[in-house]
Amino acid sequence: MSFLLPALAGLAAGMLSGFGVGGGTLLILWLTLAAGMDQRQAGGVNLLYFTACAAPALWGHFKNKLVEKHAALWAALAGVPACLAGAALANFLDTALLRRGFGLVLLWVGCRELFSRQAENKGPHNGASAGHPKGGTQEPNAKR
Amino acid sequence: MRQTGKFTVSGALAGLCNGLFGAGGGLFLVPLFTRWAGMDQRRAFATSVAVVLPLSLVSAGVYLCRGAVDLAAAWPYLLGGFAGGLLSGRVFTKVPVGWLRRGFGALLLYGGVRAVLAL
Repeated sequence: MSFLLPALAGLAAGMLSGFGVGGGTLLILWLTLAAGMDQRQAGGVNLLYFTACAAPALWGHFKNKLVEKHAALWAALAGVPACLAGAALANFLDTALLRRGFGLVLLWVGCRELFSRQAENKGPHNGASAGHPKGGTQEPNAKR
Repeated sequence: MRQTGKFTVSGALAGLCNGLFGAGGGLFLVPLFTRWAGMDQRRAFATSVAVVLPLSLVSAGVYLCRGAVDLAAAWPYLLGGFAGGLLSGRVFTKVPVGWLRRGFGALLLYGGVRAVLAL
């Protein structure tokens, strides 16, 4: 049981992470709410977990030619020093404070996910991007 | 080039979140890529994985050096995650993303409320 449940949680989160839907974030919820870890510990487990699950998913994405290399390169170049700074900061901050900060991010993203249809209609039109006006179940480019 | 600047800012935000909370880089990348840089959503997902993977490696290194991770507790998640990642690469193009995102949003609100109120 102590192995099976974590492995299943990892599997479910891993599938979502590969979709880019934020499996890692859900795994953090699991780790802090169900497994009783503090935010920093949960973050550490999640980071390790993500490297394990992103590698095979990424391979599939490259094969499907879905990765925009120019964007990935520049975002990663800027992201590495930023995440070093974030990790250093995480070490100084109280874990309760970290958890609340993360909670705010969750609330913001959760609202946006649920109400994105309205936001999408107001925003600039991006062709085949996020919200479907009719809430359809298939993306236009899904049949590659 | 303007697009390059957008990618750079998106990456920096994702990195900060990734290092600070140990998660959530993609939460910034995907909306910034789609709404700000005008990228197609599925490509934005895939590209965000390509960005967050190196970020997570760096952050995980920092967390590990500090001894902030309980490896014994972590490894079942790694195994499950690896299998999930393998599966998702295969079925990625067949999943109804719209419904996934709604369920995801509801879970986040639940988790967010509990985290902010420290329940």
